[in-house]
Amino acid sequence: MPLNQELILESWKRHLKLLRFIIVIAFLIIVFRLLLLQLINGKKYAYLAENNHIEVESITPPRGIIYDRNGVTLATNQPCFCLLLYPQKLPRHQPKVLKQYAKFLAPILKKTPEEVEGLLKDSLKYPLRPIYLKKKLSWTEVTAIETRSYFYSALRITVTPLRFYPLHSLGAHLLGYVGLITAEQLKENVFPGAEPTDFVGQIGIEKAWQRELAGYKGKRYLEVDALGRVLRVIKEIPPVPGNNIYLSIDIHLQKFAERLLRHKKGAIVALNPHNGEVLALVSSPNFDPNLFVQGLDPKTWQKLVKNPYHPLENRVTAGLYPPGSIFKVVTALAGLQTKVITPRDLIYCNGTFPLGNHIFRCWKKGGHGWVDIKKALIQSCDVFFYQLGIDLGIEKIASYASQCGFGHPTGIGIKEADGLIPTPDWKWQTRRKRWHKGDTVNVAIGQGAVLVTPLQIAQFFVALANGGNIYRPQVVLKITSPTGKVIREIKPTLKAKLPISKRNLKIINQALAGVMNNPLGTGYKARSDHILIAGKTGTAQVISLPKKKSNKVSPFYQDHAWFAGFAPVKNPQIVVVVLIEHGGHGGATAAPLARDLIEAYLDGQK
Amino acid sequence: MGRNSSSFLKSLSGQILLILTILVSLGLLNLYSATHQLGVKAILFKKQLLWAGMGFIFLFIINFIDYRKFYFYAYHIYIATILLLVIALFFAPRLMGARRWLPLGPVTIQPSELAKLVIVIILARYFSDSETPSQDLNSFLKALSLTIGPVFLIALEPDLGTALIITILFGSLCVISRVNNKVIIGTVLISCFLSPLMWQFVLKDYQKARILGFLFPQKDPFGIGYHILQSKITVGSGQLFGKGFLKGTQTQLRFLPEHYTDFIFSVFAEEWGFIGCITLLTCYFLLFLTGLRVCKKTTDTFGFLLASGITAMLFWQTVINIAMALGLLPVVGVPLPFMSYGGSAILTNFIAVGILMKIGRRKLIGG
Repeated sequence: MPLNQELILESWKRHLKLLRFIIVIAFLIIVFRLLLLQLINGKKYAYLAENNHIEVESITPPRGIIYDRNGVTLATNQPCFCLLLYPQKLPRHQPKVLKQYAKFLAPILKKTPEEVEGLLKDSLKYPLRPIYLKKKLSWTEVTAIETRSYFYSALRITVTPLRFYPLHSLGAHLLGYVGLITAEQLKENVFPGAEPTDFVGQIGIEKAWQRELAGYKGKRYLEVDALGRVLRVIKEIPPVPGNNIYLSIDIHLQKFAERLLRHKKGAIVALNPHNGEVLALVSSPNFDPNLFVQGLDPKTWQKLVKNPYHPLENRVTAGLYPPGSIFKVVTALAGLQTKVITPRDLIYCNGTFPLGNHIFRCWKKGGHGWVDIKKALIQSCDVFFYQLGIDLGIEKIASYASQCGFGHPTGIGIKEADGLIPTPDWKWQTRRKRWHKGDTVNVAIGQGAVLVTPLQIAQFFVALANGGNIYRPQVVLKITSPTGKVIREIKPTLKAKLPISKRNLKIINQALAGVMNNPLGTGYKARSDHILIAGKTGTAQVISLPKKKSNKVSPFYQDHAWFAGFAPVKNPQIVVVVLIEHGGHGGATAAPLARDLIEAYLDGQK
Repeated sequence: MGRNSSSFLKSLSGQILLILTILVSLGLLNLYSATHQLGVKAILFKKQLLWAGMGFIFLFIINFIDYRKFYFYAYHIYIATILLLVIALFFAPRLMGARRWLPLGPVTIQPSELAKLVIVIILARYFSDSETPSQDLNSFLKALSLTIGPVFLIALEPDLGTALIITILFGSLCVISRVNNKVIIGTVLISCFLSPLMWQFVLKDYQKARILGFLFPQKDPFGIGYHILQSKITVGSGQLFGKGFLKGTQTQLRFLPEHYTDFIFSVFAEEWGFIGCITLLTCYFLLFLTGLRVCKKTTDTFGFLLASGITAMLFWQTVINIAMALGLLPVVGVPLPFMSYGGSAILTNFIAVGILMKIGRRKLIGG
């Protein structure tokens, strides 16, 4: 610090007077302003505050419309009269008036006056959170409320565009549904700027594309009197409607596929092998998304949630199943590519495969005799793949399975499961048990702890059908503005290449064609008379059953039936995966459904 | 003990502590009233309570630190703050359209609030290094170059209110440390000349709308003028005695937006009336006058500039915020010290007052 500090300090301190002067002036101005506002004009402002409120009300924009690939409407909006309760306007200190409210509302809400009174009292906990008392009011209800609105200022009727799914349960798992925003979502600010009366996408496309679909809210400035009655609308800023979404699904194919699965539990997914676009996505049993818009009463909700067949679950993306024999394609691919086996190598199947002190069996009791890899796939010989699994080792199988897209999500954009490809590390970490060769044998035929989703299988078969390109399954084609202008087109995403050479892929595809067209093939009975289909059947054991002689197996323990395939064999146009829960043999129950769907699609295209 | 505490209250720093405690208590009471009905946001009161508690701890710690340490570490603190501002600008997630908040574990900090105090420290250091009582153009330009970086970074966030406060602090310290009058007048003229360019290229549409809404409120009373009109109704309807604690209809019915941050004074004015306002203003007034008394007692240039800079910082924020709530100034985001919700702001203000107390105490002991 400089030496002549004191001199400088003295000179600077003379400015303190100026500072004090500024402070005094500023405070004087503020005090005069307060005098003017609070004392001289106070009565006027008090009048304005009490009698002439200005309220700001949000105007909900219509949500974007969802179409199928051909422009068929899957989700739209219906303007409805809704009855809203604004708890802060309830006369909380006048129990008599509250009782009057309850008496007035009871017949409209179809509840007893006591129940309504309880509901009103509950609403006072969060007085600034408006509540939908009833949606879809009838005309008589609207007139009844409007004529008495003078006495019940806490009630207001709004016209809200409510979501409507005109095809009801069709495509429900993909579309998802919108529902009233939950208290948790509000608290965690999942949707910035959301209000308690907003509807937001809760699952499926509605959730994944919420931001595009929601649009922007408008505002309405209302002049209201002391009791909250609206005197006039001062100004209105119109809302901006949400953008429309075109899905890749073909609703006719979807409808056909849903009909195939009627009264069955399972999943069907059809993809375009050239780009991974989802053409149909069915999970059965299903539900009507309109129920969620109107609000579920606790009974219906419990029924849906506690239903043992889980209708809310999207089995295509989130259902985890052992793939069974379908997985043999992965094992075969790994065997050929690592040169552990050549197309000419033969393995003898006598129906049994002893390993340690355990005997693994082939599904065919007498065995298949000498089989090469093609025959093994066509007839789904277990013993061949037991041996191949042992020769490959679990690390190679797991590595190839992972490269084929198993064990991690596909990236379709809606909620999905990862699946599981077990490895020795995984077994040690989760179960504290060592890996045995028997585990490898099980994995090689898609049993044991292997879990996949139908969509992962479909993604794999898309790559088999198109020469090795793994595309991300895609459900949204394009986004358009409310006026129909295309805002964004979504291009297919090539994620990776199948780890297989052209020659080996050809061998596998020939074998897959043989499954359906060779008289010994497991899918021969389900072949089409005019379309060449390639595919693989699968029968996945749910749990290993003790060999019992009785045929009365509880349906919950029956095997899952699988089929995955594509058609036509030359220049494939469609990939189909069918899963029937507890359906028994894949060749007998799943493959015929796939054939029907393929025929419907390809014949329809002509 | 009793004698000790009474002599402490007679000391400058004791008086500051007393005023501060009253202000913080009023602030917390008022914030409770402003937020208790907001459901989700009711947690803001508890958070503020925690921040105030932490503030007192900081105050206590600062009183054990020689304020000259700030002289020695001024440039370190300055560079660290600039780094924080840069990180906030480029890496912080965008919240409510601005990149002001840096997530730091369970809390988010707002480096721009801290920057207000840091600018005071760095300018106090810079001007106290001066060899002459009055500053020429050269030393003015050097001080300007120290200020312009943080102002620019903060304006980009965008947080025009804080950028404005820092600019005003720079001006205040220039006047106090006697920058040549010609230079000051010249700067004012140049900025007047540049302001149309600012309007054209720097200000965002919403900021222009705020200024227009202030200048011509009758043009659009329910759009931009809405805030100002509602704030005036809120304050005015308080009248002489106010509507009572938790009974402000404007606030409780949420007619007033942003009422727990920028418009917190309106909430207080509505519920406590003219009498309450005068009480609150007296507290602030006494705080600033005590601040000036601390300045007067200092014996070194750094301490003097630091004390007057801190007083100026608290004063300008208070006056601009209240003037805005009363419709005397356009709406700019400047918090009211110790009243508005905001963790970084309250901590910064506590640290500032702590330094002020320390400067006041040192002289008392030394003299």
